[in-house]
Amino acid sequence: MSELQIIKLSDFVRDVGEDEARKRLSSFSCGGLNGEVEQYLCDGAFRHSRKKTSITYLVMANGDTHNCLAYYTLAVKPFSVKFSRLTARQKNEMKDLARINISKEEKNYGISSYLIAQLAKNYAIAGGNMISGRDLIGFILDQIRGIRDQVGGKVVFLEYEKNKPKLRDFYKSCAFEEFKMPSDADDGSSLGQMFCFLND
Amino acid sequence: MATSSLTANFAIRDEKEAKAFISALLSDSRSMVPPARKRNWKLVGSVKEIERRRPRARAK
Repeated sequence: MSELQIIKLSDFVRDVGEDEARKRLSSFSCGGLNGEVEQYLCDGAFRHSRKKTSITYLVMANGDTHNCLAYYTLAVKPFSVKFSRLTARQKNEMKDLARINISKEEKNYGISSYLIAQLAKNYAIAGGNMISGRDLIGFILDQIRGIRDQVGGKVVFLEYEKNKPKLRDFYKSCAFEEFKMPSDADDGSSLGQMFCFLND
Repeated sequence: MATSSLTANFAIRDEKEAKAFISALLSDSRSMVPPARKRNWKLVGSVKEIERRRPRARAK
């Protein structure tokens, strides 16, 4: 069985230098599935890792640090749920669990979550099939469980492109559920949001 | 996945969605997440640690 190693992008950059890291990751390709995800690895991932606003992890195999099999990015992300939309019982139960933010317009519950901001396999290398998306999600959720056990939290969420129903079905098969939570950066038409709840 | 999710603000506004979400959040019985298949995964802290795992060439 192949051994897979996961390293933070910031550690990778520290050890090989930023120019070399960029060079090694420049051939990363999602096989035309999502150009934005490829672009993020070339640019945003470096900036955000430096600022620690999100952390990008690279998946390598068998001691090979030149070919990245996959990558993913994690962040802590707050979101809100409108207070007025809940039942009286839910409001009561939520008292101890979430803080109510009161803005001029309305009351909201502020809820923290772990965001899987990026997730991609590299189709440009022969070893791309060494890991399945399911294994990758399983590893990420195990990693988040470890973080959860240290600091708490139970909600994990991600966004997917609505025009890729196969992707939605895949996440559903990995225990993610769909809830409509459009962001202010999207009109709600192109991206869907999915959640999973870590109780175990 | 979209880079915008890192910077955007999110809110569940719809009544039905908000109720369903909070119901799921409050439930303790949801434990549907399948554990990761046991594989040889390791979170490492340096490039050297990865390179040490390079398979050795067999002696001829």
